[in-house]
Amino acid sequence: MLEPTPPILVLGLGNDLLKDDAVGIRVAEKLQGSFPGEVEVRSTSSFGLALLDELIDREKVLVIDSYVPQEFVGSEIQECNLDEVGDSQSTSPHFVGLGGIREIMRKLGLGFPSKVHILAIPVSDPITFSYEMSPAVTALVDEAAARARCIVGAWLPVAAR
Amino acid sequence: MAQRITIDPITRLEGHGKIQIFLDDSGKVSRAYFQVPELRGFEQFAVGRPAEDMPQITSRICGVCPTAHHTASTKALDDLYQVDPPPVAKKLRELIYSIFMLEDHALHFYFLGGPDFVVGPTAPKAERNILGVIGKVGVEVGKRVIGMRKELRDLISLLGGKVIHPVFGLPGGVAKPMAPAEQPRFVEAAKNAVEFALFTLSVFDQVVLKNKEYVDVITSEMYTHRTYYMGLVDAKNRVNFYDGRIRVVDPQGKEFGVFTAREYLEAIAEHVEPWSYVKFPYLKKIGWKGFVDGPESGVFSVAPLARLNASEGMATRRANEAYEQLFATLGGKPVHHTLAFHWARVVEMIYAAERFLELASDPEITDPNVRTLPTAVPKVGMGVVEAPRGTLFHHYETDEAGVITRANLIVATQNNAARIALSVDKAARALLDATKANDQGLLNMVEMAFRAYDPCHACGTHSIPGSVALKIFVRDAEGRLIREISR
Repeated sequence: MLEPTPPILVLGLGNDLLKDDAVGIRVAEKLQGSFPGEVEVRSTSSFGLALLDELIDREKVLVIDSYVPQEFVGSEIQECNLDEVGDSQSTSPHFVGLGGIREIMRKLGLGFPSKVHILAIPVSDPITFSYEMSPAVTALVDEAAARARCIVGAWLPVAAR
Repeated sequence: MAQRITIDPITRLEGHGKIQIFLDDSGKVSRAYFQVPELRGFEQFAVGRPAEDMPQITSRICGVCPTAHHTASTKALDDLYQVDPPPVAKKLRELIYSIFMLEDHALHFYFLGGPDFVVGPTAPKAERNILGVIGKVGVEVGKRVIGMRKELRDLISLLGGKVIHPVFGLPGGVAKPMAPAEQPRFVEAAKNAVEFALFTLSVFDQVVLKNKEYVDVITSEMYTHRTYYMGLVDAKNRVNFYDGRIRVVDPQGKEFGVFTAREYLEAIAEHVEPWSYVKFPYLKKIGWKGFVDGPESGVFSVAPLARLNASEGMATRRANEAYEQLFATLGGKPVHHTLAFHWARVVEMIYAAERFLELASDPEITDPNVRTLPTAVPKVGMGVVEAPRGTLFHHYETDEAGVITRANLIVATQNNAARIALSVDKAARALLDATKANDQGLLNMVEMAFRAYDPCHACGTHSIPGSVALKIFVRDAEGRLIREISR
């Protein structure tokens, strides 16, 4: 018998071959075992329309990803709700964003999580092949994990926190 | 002093790829280039790692076509260890590969090329997106595309492990056989896939071919380049995605050459430009003559239309009928119209689905003998497949312990890079000649020029904001920004 899909998803995005691009995955690894059964922690190298599969049957989702700021020095971990991102429709399924996926899922009657929160970690080099992240990005993993615990904790019933 | 216009996606969150347009003193386009960022340091990263890790490592380079890298890499390992997989192993690899090609092409046709043709090249910007395609073909078809894609990906996972991190191919075979109990599900899915692919052709016929305006766009000179074409073919010169020899035809459609993966370095050389990290492959025997087309230029093209041009037919019945229809409609072989890549992709969808059904129905497909253990001392291995976006080469050299000492990949989009630059150049010339056109129209004209190739520059781009933001910076002769157009 299939296990029911946990209603809350923590989703680390990135590519662990590409230096700082691994940070979303590393934070997700750090969070494994942190939550009760209604929370699933996953990571994926997928993006674009492929993320649709991850969102089906979820109620709340925390996405942990990286961003490339204009200047890395002085940049901070950013948090926002999907509504605050301001998505436009991409013409490419490879690059369609979460806002675009939301519109597609709603249009197709597939439902969409009631809440999608984004934790974006600044990185400086997501394009060099390496299993090692920059020290400055590595240093952000604990802070990002702590903020993720805080965000997801607030979604849980008091007794489950 | 020359001016420069840059169409720049800026950051990882907004996607990659950049278009550089250089102007002369009179404000006319002197040249335009499509820049694809190259991931840094792959060769150094690979050196020192066990060769048998390469199918897993290379499949994680990007999330768009992991199966293509995984399969090319696995074939390179067969060559490296001089081992011939059992027949069923080859069939299972090709079965997985056919599923992958079908899923990828379907996604492109409906959701990437769709805005250009299903919705229409002149439709308002607000409709020229995936939602617009769903609006045009209907919610039920949209659901069918999503559902088909999910089923196909689930089947890949069933046999090959995760779609993104496949663990299927091994030197000399595959990791596991197909269980007899699993075969009916594959057969059923394959039957649905054939029906779906034929339905897609009917959509193309109704929406595109019956619309003279669309056909005129396809055949317009602005989207036409007379280049060489390359593709993998079987012993009868029919399109094959998984195996065979690489055939090249000239701009008149005559066979120019045929070579094996092992001979790719004799056939292809790479040209370096100071403005791009990408090395531009060209035909060695012809030579690099710049970003120009014609028989005197070594620029060649890969991917769906190139594969059809480089072949003498399709190996399955319905696909071959569609192949014949394409060339009959567009004036015979070869077809040089870039926008016909979309049509060629539909022909290949049918082939992938029919081949999927053939292989899934094969009584030997559940044979448990799926591997020949390699015993040779490794030295050099080269493998090739036809990725959705074109011919993909993997080349490894190792020490006697099988540890990588050198690695080289020529990826599909790279093989098309020079021709994509030609396409962008033509569009840009039209763009700047049409100075009174609206900004979004200009952007769309440029986008259409390269979207037909389905260029993959998906190096870890998750694109949370969602749009592949294009920005055009128009600079005057002194380099000052005088105009900015963005999406």
